[in-house]
Parts: sequence; structure tokens; C-alpha cells
Amino acid sequence: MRFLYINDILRSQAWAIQEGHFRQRLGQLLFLLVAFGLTYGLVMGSYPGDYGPRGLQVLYSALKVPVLLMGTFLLSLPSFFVVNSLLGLRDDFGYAMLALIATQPG
Amino acid sequence: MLAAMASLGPIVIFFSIRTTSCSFMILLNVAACSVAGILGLAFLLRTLHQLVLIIDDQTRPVRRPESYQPGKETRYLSRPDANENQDHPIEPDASAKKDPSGSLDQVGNYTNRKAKSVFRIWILVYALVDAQMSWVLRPLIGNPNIPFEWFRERQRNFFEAILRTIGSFFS
Repeated sequence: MRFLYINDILRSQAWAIQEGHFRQRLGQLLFLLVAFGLTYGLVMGSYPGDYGPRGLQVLYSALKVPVLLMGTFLLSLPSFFVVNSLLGLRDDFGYAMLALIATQPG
Repeated sequence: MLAAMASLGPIVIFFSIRTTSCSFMILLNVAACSVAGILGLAFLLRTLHQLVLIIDDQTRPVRRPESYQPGKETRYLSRPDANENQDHPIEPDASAKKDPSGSLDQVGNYTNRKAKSVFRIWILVYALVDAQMSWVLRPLIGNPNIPFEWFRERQRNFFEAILRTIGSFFS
């Protein structure tokens, strides 16, 4: 089963934050982020009210949730980088960023 | 965090089918996101702990068994059971052992304190930006009593809107 790595992420296995194979790991984490974001977005937009389900709202909410989290992450990242640098932790920034990225889908 | 949110999906769906109150649905989704956020925090702390162990493992060299392979059943020096595996014990380097002043530990503690401060700041910034971003991207749930729209016009902020929703829910 190819997608069993979600189990590793949920259990904070070391591979998710160790250096090496960065692109592959990032791709897997982003895939999970989008997949779970779409799932919760579908749930969020499915409130039917009095008039039944609204397809466009369901679709739009599904698209918005991954955008919401990725947008927030990207907006917060510069301040995180600067604070890391100011406190002398820039050497470990790569690790810290992977931990934060792993937290999004986890 | 999103896995926790998605896992709450069936509960949210159940309530969304059984209620006609939009205020209730908004508050339920905010609650679900808050719970997922708290679980995400716990996850982040655990991941950070792993991170500290990895960095610690790299800064204090250990003599590894020949069968050691990166990413496979890594046994860290700081883990209480690190030396339980008698087949492949991991022993600290002599240079790491000879640190009478404990300066490495002091440096480690100082770095840990700074790392904790950074992540407290991150959590605060992330929570504030996320709340406002969800407000900018609304409607995420959509009020069925008003026509569908891609974006709503700019007004108020997330926190004020939640207070108003709580007020309308109880009135």
C-alpha cells in the first residue's frame, strides 16, 4: 500500500523530518495536505440548509480549505524565518520547516 | 492537523444533515477546527521532540552497528530504551562521554529554550493569520438563505463575526 505513509506521519516517525529525499517527502506531505483538505472542505460546504445540497458551494469549499492552510503557511513563513535567524537557529531551519509542513497534514 | 479535521468529518456531516441552524453549523465547524488545531499542536510538539532527538543524534556522534541503515528503526541515544537492544547496542563516542562540565547539555538546554520560544511565536502568528485567512476566503460553509458568491465583500473580522454568531445562536 503506497499511501501507508500517513500512518508514519501520524506517529511522528523520524523519516518525515529527517534530511534527504526532501522533494519526495515534500510531495507526499503536500499530497496528503490536499487530500485531507479536500475531504474536510467537502464536509464543510455540504450544509444543505432548507433547500438541499448546493453543488457549487461544496466544490468551492473543497478547493478553499487546502488554499487556506497553504496560504496561511506561506504568509507566516517569512516571520518564522526571521525569528529563527534572530535567535540563532537558522542552521536548523530546514528541519523546523519540515516539522511544520509535516504538521499540516498530520 | 488536517487528518484530525478530516476524521471529524463524519460527525460534522451528521450534524449538518440534521440541523437547519446556520449559526450552529458555523460554531460547530469552528469547534472542529479548534479541536484539530489543538491535536495539531500536540502533533507538532511530538514532531519537535523527534527533531531534537535527531539533532542531538547528529551533534553527539555515536558508534553505529554495521547493520545500521538511515531511516530504518533508528535508535537514538537519548531514548530510555536506547541500549536495550543487546544485538546492536549503540554506544556513545568517547569524545561525547568526556564532557565533565556538561557544557553540551547546557548548550542543548539553551537551544531548546530558544526553539520553544520560536514555536510559541509560530503558533500565535499561525493561529491569527489562519483565523483571518478563513475570514478572507469566506464563505466556506455558505449561508443557504443567501445566493452563492465566490467571495464576500470586505467587512469586520473573524473574531467579531464569531462573537456575533454566538450571540445570534443563543438569541
